Amino acid sequence: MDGREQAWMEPMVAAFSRPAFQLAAALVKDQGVAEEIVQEAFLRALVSRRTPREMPEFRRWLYRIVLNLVREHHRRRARWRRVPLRPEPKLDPEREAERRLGDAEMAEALRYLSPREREAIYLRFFQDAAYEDVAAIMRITDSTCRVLVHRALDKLRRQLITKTDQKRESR
Amino acid sequence: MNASPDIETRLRAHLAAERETIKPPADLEARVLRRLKEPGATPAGSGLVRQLLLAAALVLFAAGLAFGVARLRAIAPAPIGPSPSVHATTTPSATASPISSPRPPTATEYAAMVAAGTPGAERQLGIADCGSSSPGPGHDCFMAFGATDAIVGTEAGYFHGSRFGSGCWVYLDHDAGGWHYVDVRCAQAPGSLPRIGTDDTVNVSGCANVRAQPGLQAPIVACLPNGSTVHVVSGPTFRDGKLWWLLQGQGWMVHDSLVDGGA
Repeated sequence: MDGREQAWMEPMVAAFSRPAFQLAAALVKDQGVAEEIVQEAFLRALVSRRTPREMPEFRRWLYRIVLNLVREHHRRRARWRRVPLRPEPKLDPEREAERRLGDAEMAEALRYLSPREREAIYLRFFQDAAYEDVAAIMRITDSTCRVLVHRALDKLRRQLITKTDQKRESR
Repeated sequence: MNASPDIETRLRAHLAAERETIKPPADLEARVLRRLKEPGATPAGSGLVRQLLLAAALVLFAAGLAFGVARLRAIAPAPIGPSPSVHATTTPSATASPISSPRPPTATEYAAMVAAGTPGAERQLGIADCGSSSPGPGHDCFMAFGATDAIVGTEAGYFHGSRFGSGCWVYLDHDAGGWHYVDVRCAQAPGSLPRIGTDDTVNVSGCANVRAQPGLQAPIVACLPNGSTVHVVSGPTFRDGKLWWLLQGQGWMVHDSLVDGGA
């Protein structure tokens, strides 16, 4: 990275490395992997000639790379799960305890979303991205994005209602 | 669209709490910048040596195309193959082609290609990943073979792999979302494994179109009968949802016609 590249990349790193880290960590549930993803995403953004230099476009581009790396991570993990030589990675006990302290039902309901739905939900409500930004990052149309988010919210509501009914019956 | 305000409120509260639990390292920015300053983290195309190599490759590519034009002019009056509807209407033009010269991938690109191509290849071949082992008798599995033979073409590329008893080539396309798996072919000998610098055999029923440019809208310049031997000089290029290869002295042919079971 020469001086000219450093001059435009440094403000981008300052502006987006933390939110990108939080998004990656929320999607992969592993802060070590999230840091690798963020570093790799910035590296890919730096080496690609097509990376936009303007902040709003750069943000979309970076998040698109982050999502791509998150999907690669999930695919690799799925592949390793098929090979019985490696043990399943355990959940970080500290994080698991924190999760239990929060809205455990919502955390459980989120697990029922498809990967695409989860990405849309986290971009929209975790990152507070506008629908048009979510659509651009996921490379889908604005209307598809709204339908995806709406469907995911419906799924969450149904899942939470089912849980409440189950609790009531068990009393 | 705000059909679930109660759920939205609860979800936002949950995600805000989750965000609170995620603490990025205090020196995250410094770590990222350090990584970007490591050797090899250079934008594609910068550096005098790279630019000289690119220029040399472009000259060679143009020379190859000129040779192709000369060959096509020589064969233009008589369409090749049995198809009566095929005519040599135009010739490949170096100036009209936005095709970039094939080049080896960077380490990062190669890693991304392998990560994107391996799951699809394993699924298509019906075998598992070798992991830390190697393919052998009673242990058929897939492994990437190293970056030496990998190539990045125009919005496409390929890398070398291996399974027990044969070599494999994994073909991919590339867009802003990264690399995407397209096809894998394994064989014990060349002939149905298109890649730069090798002979290949046309594998179709009837004849396979050769086009002036990659793409289904490009003019057809010839139609090569099944079994024709061709020499691949450039590619792959991804257009119209298909991979294309430049054949020496001919033009562009779609990938499917150069592998077993071609259309």
